[in-house]
Amino acid sequence: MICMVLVAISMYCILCKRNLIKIVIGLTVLGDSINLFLICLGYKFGGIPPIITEEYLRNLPVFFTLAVDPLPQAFVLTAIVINMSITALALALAVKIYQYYGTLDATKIRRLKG
Amino acid sequence: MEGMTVIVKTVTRILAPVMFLVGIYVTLHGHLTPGGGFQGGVMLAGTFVMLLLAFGVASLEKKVSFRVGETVKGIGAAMIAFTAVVGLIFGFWFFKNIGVYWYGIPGEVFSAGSLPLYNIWEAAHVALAFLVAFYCFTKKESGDKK
Amino acid sequence: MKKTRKMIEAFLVVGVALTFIFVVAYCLPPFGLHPYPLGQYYIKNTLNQVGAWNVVCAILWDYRGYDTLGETAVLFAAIVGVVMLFRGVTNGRNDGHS
Repeated sequence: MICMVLVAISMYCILCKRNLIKIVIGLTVLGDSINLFLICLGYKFGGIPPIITEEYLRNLPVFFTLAVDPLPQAFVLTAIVINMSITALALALAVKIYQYYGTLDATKIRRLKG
Repeated sequence: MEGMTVIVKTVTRILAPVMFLVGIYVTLHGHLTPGGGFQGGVMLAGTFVMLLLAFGVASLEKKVSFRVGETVKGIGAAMIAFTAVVGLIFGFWFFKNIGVYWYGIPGEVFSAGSLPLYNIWEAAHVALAFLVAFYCFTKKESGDKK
Repeated sequence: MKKTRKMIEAFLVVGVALTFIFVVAYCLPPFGLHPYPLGQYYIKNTLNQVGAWNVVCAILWDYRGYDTLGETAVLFAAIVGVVMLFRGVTNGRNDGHS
């Protein structure tokens, strides 16, 4: 599916690019593609969101058979928050590296020492 | 960091209260409609970032300073743990859904136990965490230690 | 020579990861007909036990509250780390006296 293409592109971007900001973008896209894959696992044909509204309050058995799985959605919400905090720390590190070394190239950082 | 042109400032003045209200609405109706604590907090953070980009850091720091942001963020995170512990004090198990708003009909805003409280604290925590992080990113480098 | 070797290694890693995902996707029940007993238990008992209409929110805060507490703690720790990284940087004041 589309998730696998996204996973492949993001992993290539992490491994083969030299600019630090592009590596961070690849990390974000990898996390998002895995979250998308997890949400797609719990789908049901002809499904409705697992939220009880007024028109389904009266006939609840129809709601039980039509509703989409709510468990992966709850897990993915937590995963999104954790990915966001990872991105925040990675960007802060990138800013400090730029202030210290003067460049953002991943291959040149090892050579310049202090 | 200065602000942007007049067009951006005028549009931001119109859009910022609307975005703020929609964020509060999504947070408060977290147990009725899709949304909840984290989603409403992200919308409030988007409001703060929009104001910061259009008006500059200096004018936003007069309204919501750094100390205020850090304090309220700590309060939000602590109240989540406190609301979870309150159930423990009264003899039930940890994280018991206490009946603060229990005496309401499901479908109103005042229903569903202690879920609205959790949503409010989570939204405050997430929005101010974003604001504090963006304040740190826009500092100039005149005096960093090596 | 170094660059082509690096690309070959990169494609090897990507190929292994994609193989794993394909194997997982074939071993699952077919798309759209997945039976989920735990999810159905949550849907059926939310209105009686919690009284909320949003099943996902009730899962996050009532049935799986520990996970959300841990996620809040992780976010808090990350922001404390960001503030700590930018500790000694003043805001560009020209005079030395604060």
